[in-house]
Amino acid sequence: MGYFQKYSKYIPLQAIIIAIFLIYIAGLSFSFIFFAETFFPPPDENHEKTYVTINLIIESTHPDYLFNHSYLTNVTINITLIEHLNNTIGIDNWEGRYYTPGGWFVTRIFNASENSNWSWRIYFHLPGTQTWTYAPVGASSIRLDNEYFIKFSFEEG
Amino acid sequence: MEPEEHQNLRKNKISPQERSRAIQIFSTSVIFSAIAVASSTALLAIPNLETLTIFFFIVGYQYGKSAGLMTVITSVTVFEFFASQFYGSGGLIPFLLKFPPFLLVMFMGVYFRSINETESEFPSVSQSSLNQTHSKILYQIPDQLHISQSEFSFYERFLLAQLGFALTIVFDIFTSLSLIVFVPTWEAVLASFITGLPFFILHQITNAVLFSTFPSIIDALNKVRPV
Repeated sequence: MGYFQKYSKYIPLQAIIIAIFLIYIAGLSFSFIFFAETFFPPPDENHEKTYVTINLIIESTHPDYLFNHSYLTNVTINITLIEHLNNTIGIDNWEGRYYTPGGWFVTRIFNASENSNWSWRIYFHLPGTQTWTYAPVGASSIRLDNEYFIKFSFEEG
Repeated sequence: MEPEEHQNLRKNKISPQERSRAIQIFSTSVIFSAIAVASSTALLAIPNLETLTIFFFIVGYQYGKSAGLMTVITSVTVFEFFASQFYGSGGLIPFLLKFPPFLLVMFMGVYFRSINETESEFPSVSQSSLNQTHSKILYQIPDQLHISQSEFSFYERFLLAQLGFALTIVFDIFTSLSLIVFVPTWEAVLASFITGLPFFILHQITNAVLFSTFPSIIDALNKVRPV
């Protein structure tokens, strides 16, 4: 008896199994495609158009400094740190998050005294303290206590 | 006093063969339910590793749909109690939705038996052996239980592994669909498919491995014959 004749009785069963496999793979593929934006979020074009890159050059290992750049409204701030601070600062593109200790965070504030508008403020934290401070408006560099020095610049990307 | 006619009717209602078969079905379903529930409960700490599926398939294959139906209902109900103690109850709807896929597994066993064109559910019971049923021994286990070389080929074992995988897929889909009762959106159901995928794969692979051992179990069962 040939191989085909011997196992021909299993053809319907094998066909059912293959059909279940195909339905399963199709269902999973559909589920992944359905949630594709969750797994691979598309870039936000509106944010890209108003993208502002702020290059921070930090010349101190203890950045108890502050930086406040007003007039940036509704933008995502991309901060590129030239120098790591005790390896606690990440290089990221984010808003409203923060790393502690010895890190920094960005927050959006409503600046009523300046231009009654939302602005972005970057806080720096000195490791080992509970102090969070921020830079004065318009500053391009900061020296604090004649000891620590932070220089920053920004440009529109 | 019961009329003689009724007595005869009652006596003839169940023949000795039918009575013996009913006892066999009942005892078989009880034994296999106990094995399935106990082994699955012992494996509860490992998520989605259970032996209910393979035992339902075995009972459907070896003993037919009557014993299979009793085994499925008994095992699923009793195992739900133990599983609920460990993982918490999923509620009535998910519990009820477990029956259709498990019954499908059992009927697949019956179908697999039918396409193999082998003997019927229970080995035939002779009249002389029926007389010995009063000796309280229905089955005799041989002194030495050798697992002989199975008559199932490699392809058939592979087919059984595929069947175990596919039947588990059906089970997982059915039980995941129960979510729609609580969260009636397709997004929730699709999300449950994706988030449950690691557990599905573990369940499917373990059942495929268990189903590939099916021929060895059947060989062992075939050595246990009625007296």
